[in-house]
Amino acid sequence: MSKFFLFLWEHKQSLLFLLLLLLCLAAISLTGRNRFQLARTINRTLITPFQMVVSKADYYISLKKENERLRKNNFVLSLELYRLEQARQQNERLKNLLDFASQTPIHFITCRVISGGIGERSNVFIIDKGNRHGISPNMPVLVPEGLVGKTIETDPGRSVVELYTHQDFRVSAMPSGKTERGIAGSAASGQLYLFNIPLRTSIEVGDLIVSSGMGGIFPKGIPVGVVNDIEREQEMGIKLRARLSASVDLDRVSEVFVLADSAFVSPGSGILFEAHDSLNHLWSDR
Amino acid sequence: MSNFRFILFLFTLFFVHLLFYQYISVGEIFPDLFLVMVVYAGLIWGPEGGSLIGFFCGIAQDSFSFTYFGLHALAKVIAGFVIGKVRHSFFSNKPLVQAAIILVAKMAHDAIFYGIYFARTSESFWRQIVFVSAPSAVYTAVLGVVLFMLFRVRHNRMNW
Repeated sequence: MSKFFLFLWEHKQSLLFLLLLLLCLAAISLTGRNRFQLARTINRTLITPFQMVVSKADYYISLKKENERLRKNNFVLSLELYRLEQARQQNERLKNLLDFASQTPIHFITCRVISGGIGERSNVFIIDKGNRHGISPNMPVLVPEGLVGKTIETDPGRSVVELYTHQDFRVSAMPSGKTERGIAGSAASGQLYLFNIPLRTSIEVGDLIVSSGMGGIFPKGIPVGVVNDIEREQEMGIKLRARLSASVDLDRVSEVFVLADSAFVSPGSGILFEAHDSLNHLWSDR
Repeated sequence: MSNFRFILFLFTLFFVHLLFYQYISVGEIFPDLFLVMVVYAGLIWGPEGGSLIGFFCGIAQDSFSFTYFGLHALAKVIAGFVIGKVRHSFFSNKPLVQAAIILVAKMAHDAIFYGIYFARTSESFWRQIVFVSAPSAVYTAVLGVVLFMLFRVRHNRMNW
C-alpha cells in the first residue's frame, strides 16, 4: 500500500497532468444540453458577477456624458416634436379618410451588452435583461443596422445571445426584392455566408440579404449583410454560397434590442417601446 | 518576487483579462493575459502550477464558448505543463527571453486550439495562425512582460 502511495507521490506531476487532460477531454466530449448547462453554471457563478460590476460602473460614467448631450438635443427635439405632432394629427385624419387598418405595434426590449466573451471564438453576448423582463430563448436580437443574433438562454436578470458569427447560428434569408431563399450563417472562420444557393441564381454582388421570415424565429426583412462575391460551396458542388459583409459590426455593439412577444411582457416595466409600423417598413428607407 | 506578490500579479492579470478584455485590444488584436498567467505559473511553480492555473483559466474562457467547451482548458493545461517541465532550460530574468517564451507558448496554444477547432472544416488553419494568432502572440508577449516588470520593479523598490 505504501508503495502505491510512494508511486503516486513520485509521479504526481504526470498524474495531475493526466487527470486535468482527462477532465478537459471529458468536457469537450459533453453533448448538447449538458455542455451548455455546465458552461452556463460556471459563467453565471464565477464570471458574470464581476462583469456586472464593471458594466454598471461603465454605465454610470457614460450616463453623465450622455445626460449633457441629451440636454442639448432636448431643445432641438422639442421643436421637432411639435412639428411632428402636427403632422401626426394630419396623418390620422387622412388615414381615417382612407380607412386604413391600423398595424400591430412591434415591441422591443432595450438591453445593454455586459460581456462579449473573453477568449477565442466565444461568439456570444451576455445582456443585462432576462426572463423577468419578458425575454425567453429564441427571440431575435437586433440593432438599427440589422441582425445581431438570437437569445439562447435566459436567467431572471440576464440572457445569452448567440451571435450571427456563431457556428451554430442559422437564419433563413433572401435578397431584398427577390424571391430566392438561402440559409445565412457563419463558417468556422467567422465569415458570414448565404449558403444553399442554386447554380442558376439571380443573386448578384451588392444585393442586400435580409431575413426571409421562414423558420419561425426571425420576422421577414431584417438586414443580414451585403453580397461580396459568390462561389461554389464545394469544388464540383451543385450549390453556391455568397460571401457576405455583415450589416452589423459586432465590435461596435453596446446596446441591443430584443424583439419581444408583447403578450408576455409587462407593459408597466418601462423597458418596452413600440414602433408603430411593420419591420419591413423600419428598414425600407435604407 | 515573493509568493504573495506573485499571486497578486496573477490575480491582476486574471481580473484585467476578465473585466477589460474588450478595452485592451488594439484594433482586432486581442491579448491573452490568461496565457501570460499560465506561462509565469509554469516558470515559477513548475508543471503542477502551470497546468492547474491553465485548467482554471481555460475553463473560465470556455464558459463563454458553447461549441467547444474544454478546448481552451486543454490547450492551456498542455502549455502550462510543458513550460513547467522545460523551465530550467529556458528560465531567465531577461525580458526578451520571457517575451519569447510567451510568444512561443501563445503560438503553440493557438495551434492546438485551432487545430482541433478547424479539424472538420474546410477553413484555413494557417490563415488563422498567420493573421490572427501571430499578431496576438506579439501583443500578448509585450503586454505580459511589461506587466511582470512593473510588479517586479515595485517589489525591488520596496526591498531597497
